[in-house]
Amino acid sequence: MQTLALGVLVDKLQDLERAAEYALNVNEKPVWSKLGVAQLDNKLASMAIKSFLNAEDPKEYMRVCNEANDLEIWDELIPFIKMARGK
Amino acid sequence: MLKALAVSASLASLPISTTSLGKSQPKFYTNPNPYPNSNPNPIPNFLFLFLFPILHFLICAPALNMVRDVLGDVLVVGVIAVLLVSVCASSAQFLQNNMFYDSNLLGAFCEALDPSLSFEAYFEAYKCANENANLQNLLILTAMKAAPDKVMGYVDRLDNFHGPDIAKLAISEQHELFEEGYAIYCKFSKKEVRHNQQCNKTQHSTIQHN
Repeated sequence: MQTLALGVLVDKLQDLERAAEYALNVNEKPVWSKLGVAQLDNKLASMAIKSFLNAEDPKEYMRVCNEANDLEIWDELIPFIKMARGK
Repeated sequence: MLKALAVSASLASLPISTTSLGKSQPKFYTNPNPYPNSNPNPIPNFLFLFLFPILHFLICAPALNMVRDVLGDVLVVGVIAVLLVSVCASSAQFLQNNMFYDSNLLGAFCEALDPSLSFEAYFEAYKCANENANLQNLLILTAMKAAPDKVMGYVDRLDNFHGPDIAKLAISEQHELFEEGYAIYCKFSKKEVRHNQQCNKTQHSTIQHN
């Protein structure tokens, strides 16, 4: 149900700020994961990395690495890669 | 109430031409249709000529009380309500002021004519039956059709409707009530979390007990 609520914010209202607030309030891994994907779709790589770290979800590592490469945000990428290697 | 519906249906199906009164018909007797999206009036003008004064007399509260006292029957008020809904513009007022009709059946009858009228009927039912999940669903669904600005209020106040299904409908392309859909999901996710916590507690206590 929480992921559905976040889905409305992300897909229908397209309000990522509210979605981030909601994820922070709920603090559930699937919610963070969905938010991360939405942020990645909207080219917000550094925020997406934080969301994936909260979700402990390395599934989208290819896209994350590509985006981080393009934006050259190595400092943010390192904790994500460490988490992904641990999984 | 079914009899009432049958009476109105038989009245509507009488083979009287609506043009039989001709062009010289006074404006007062023309059948008003305040609901542009509703079906064409099911009762012909000829019958309306006779029904109009009687029905308008019946709208006023003393007359209604008299009818109820004399006949004491939901069916009678139901017949009047069905005729009023079919015939004239005061039906919304009638549905708001009168408590003696069967809200559920009349609401279903009104859905075909005008969703806002069925909304009024279901609203009365909701007042009577706060815990009825089906009525709460109906109230919210008719509000989505007839008065979308009221949906959020009902979502806040009601607790016993089918949240996920209603939310799915609210965010569909037909209604596009995204804020309301989000509010429903939020409300029911909190309920879900509370339920899961209770389940965990009971499981934990039974394990400790054993």
